[in-house]
Amino acid sequence: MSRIIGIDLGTTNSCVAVFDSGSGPRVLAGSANRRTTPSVVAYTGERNSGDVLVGEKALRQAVTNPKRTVMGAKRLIGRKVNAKDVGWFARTAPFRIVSAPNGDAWVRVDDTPISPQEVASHVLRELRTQAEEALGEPVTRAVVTVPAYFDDSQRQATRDAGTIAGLDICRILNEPTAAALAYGAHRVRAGRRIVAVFDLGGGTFDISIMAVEDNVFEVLATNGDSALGGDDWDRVLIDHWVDSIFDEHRVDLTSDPVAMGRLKEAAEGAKRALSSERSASIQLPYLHAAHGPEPIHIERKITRDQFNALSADLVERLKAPCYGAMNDAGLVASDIEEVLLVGGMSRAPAVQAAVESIFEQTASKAANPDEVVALGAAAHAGILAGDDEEATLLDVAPHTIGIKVGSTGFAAIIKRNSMLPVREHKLFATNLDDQEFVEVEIYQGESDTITGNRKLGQVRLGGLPKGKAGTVRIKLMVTVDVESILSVKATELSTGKSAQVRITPSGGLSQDDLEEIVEKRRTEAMSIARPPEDD
Amino acid sequence: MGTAVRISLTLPSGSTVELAGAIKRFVKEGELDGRGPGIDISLQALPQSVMWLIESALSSAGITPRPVPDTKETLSPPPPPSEEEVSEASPLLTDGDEWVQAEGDLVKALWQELNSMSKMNAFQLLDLDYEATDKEVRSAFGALSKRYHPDRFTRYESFEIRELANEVFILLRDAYRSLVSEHGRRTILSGIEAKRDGGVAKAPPIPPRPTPPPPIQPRRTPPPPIPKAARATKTPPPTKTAPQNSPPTKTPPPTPTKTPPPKTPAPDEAKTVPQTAPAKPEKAGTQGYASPASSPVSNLPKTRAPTSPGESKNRVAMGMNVLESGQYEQALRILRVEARKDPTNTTALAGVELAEGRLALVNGDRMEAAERFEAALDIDPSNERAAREIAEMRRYATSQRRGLLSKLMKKV
Repeated sequence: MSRIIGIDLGTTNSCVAVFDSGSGPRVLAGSANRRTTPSVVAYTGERNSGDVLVGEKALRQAVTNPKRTVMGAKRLIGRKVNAKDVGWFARTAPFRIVSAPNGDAWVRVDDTPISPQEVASHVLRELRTQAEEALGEPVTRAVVTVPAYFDDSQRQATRDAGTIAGLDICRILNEPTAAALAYGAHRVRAGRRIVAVFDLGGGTFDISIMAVEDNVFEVLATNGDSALGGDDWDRVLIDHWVDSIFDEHRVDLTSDPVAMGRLKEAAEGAKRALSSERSASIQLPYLHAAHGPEPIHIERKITRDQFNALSADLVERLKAPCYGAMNDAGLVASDIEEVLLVGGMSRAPAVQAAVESIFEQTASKAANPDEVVALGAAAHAGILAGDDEEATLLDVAPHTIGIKVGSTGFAAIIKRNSMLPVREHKLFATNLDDQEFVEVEIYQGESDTITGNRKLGQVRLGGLPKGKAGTVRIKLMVTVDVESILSVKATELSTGKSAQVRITPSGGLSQDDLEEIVEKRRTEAMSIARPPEDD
Repeated sequence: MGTAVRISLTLPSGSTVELAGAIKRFVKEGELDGRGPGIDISLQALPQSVMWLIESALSSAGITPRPVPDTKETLSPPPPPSEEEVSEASPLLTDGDEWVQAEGDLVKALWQELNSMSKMNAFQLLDLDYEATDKEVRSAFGALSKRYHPDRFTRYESFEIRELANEVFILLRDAYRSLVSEHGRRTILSGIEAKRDGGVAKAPPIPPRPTPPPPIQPRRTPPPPIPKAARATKTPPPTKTAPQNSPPTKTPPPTPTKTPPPKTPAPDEAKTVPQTAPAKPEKAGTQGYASPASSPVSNLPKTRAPTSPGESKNRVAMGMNVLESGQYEQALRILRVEARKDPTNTTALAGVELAEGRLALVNGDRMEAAERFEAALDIDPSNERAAREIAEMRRYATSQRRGLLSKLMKKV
């Protein structure tokens, strides 16, 4: 039985770890003892050649090859191209983002549309290879983390990326849960403690509140914003400079991908510097040369106060999910014993100040914020593999599941933050005399109307017995298992006749699509492995 | 002579059992056929739990326990023979067939557990007192989670195992969720109370626990007493919020082969109809009530001898005490008489099944014992003794199997 690895597939960086029975989880470092791998994939060589660079190598050539270097694919995975934040990402990303036939956001490199699943699969494959080299044995199974606020489609798309990379994804684990698992495992202490994990990463924000007692990790509530992360703080800096450059030089840099790439890199550097310094400056000589008589050289200085003012509304967006999670857990700030900061962006002083005002206490920083999520994934892999017989994770459903009532109404059946697995029942009656069938549509989301929620599937029960409206009654049973797989059963009560569906979320790629991609990868790998003989 | 001895027995599952006793006499060489010199140790009576551990260890190692005429005395040259037997006879299984067999055993065990668990109320599921504190509820659930959480079963290929684990855990989680909420706990307690009141019309059964449950919140409408027949068809307790709080009614065990359609709509279900269904809980309730109260225990003759309720109650209590003291056959005699006198006395009826179950255990027939205990719980769902017996059987059987399976996993 091969081992199960834990993977933190991050927006900007990824990390892989494994659980050793006895000593616990540890990071599997790559070449040059690198413990994290940039989530960057670059397409090099001839068009459609299948030559790709992943990680550090891809990042190093990004500035010179911006249009064919894909970063932040996690922001696109399982998303529609018309989503608001995808639109913004498309405007600033140096590579092209296009709409797939089904409306999904894909990237286009040269003239080839590529799904974000495929991009992510390159990163996963890289991490898998890294793990195999470190362990000296083949690896086929993994636990992969996603932001708690990822919806079913984003989760399934992440699973599909694993499939393409030849990994069986045993479980999709929520990032803040993973962080708490890794963090709590070291700190065994008698009694029950309530911990909040505040995870602000490159592209997503999650807040989870957990109770830890005697190695049982019970998630009480989770909330967040799947489109809020460190990149947004970069964005305010970029926007600020693009505007000032336009005012000064009448040049719109957003049409110059190379310049945007350099500007983004500079913004990231300045943001990081502002975490410890009062001010930061950037110098970008020859930033833009295309149109004017003189190339544009840029020098800018920004103070922390200016930066905080620019990003005030982003900080504001952190509050609602925190209060929402506390509310769902039935707790107030003083009930929370410890707030754990995870994710690169949580290092920012303004963010920490916000956390401290929300939770009314000093937050503690994870010892290794870049690795803690992967370590937690590995810890969970240890549980699943049976290597850890003590720790138990009780996770929750991150979104409400309900059904369509009336023409656009939404009636919740399984409330968000219900402990998994969970089953709920609901009783219905027919609306019409001698109604022949009922069709129940299942939705996911927090809105009161179905238009604000996502449709997951439907179940149809036909052959109902004749009867006046309201006399034929149907019992609906909704079950969500630990893998967040939803099954729905409708039973007519007088005859016992029933219909059941197991709803498999779609990540955008069909089974055929997946098989095709896997096949394509296989032939590519073969052609690389075997040098062409007929040349 | 008379020196106290303690024997620690390590079982293949890793559990250690402590046996206490005293040296009775020294045995010379040749005194017993084929045995060397040794000592004769007289052991104190083994607790039931120890019996279970040893038995399941032996049975999983493929050894049928030899019938021992007197379980209290074992002639044992040091080291105790049982230890040797156990350690020798726990070969590490490497064969695929045995692995399949082990998975099959686990499926069977989970089915059994699911069946017995679905009859229990939330307190019984978590093996708790009615006055359990929140902390006790949490720690009981935590301990059960470590054993039954579906994550523990993902390592098995079998879809069936994982589905069963899911079902079992849903029962536990619902019990936990309802007991940590004040409202849920009240609902369950009043449901138990209603069952107890409705179950026996003439002789109210002895409370299964010495301490009475906390005062019950007055209800808006008193529920109609539900006769046994209605309960046998798993009519939910007639409380409005029952569905998510009462595991037995919520999750009937998913029998793939036969799913009997519910004949009478449950009263509480009707209340939750969100639309226009003309819900008539009272009517549904009376339908259930109208069915004759036939005892599920059919092998008992239905002759009724007039006895004063008080006297009967005392005799049943005595029977139960005798049972508790370990004199199962005597307890069985007393309780049988009482059950024959009054076939509606669920305490006596359940007591008969309990005594039969204990006897079956003594004779090493675990299946029979399990069935008897479940029957007791069927007759009297509020019978904590039965629930505890089942819980104990389940616990040891599963921990044993898990030990075996983990060993297999590591070998594979």
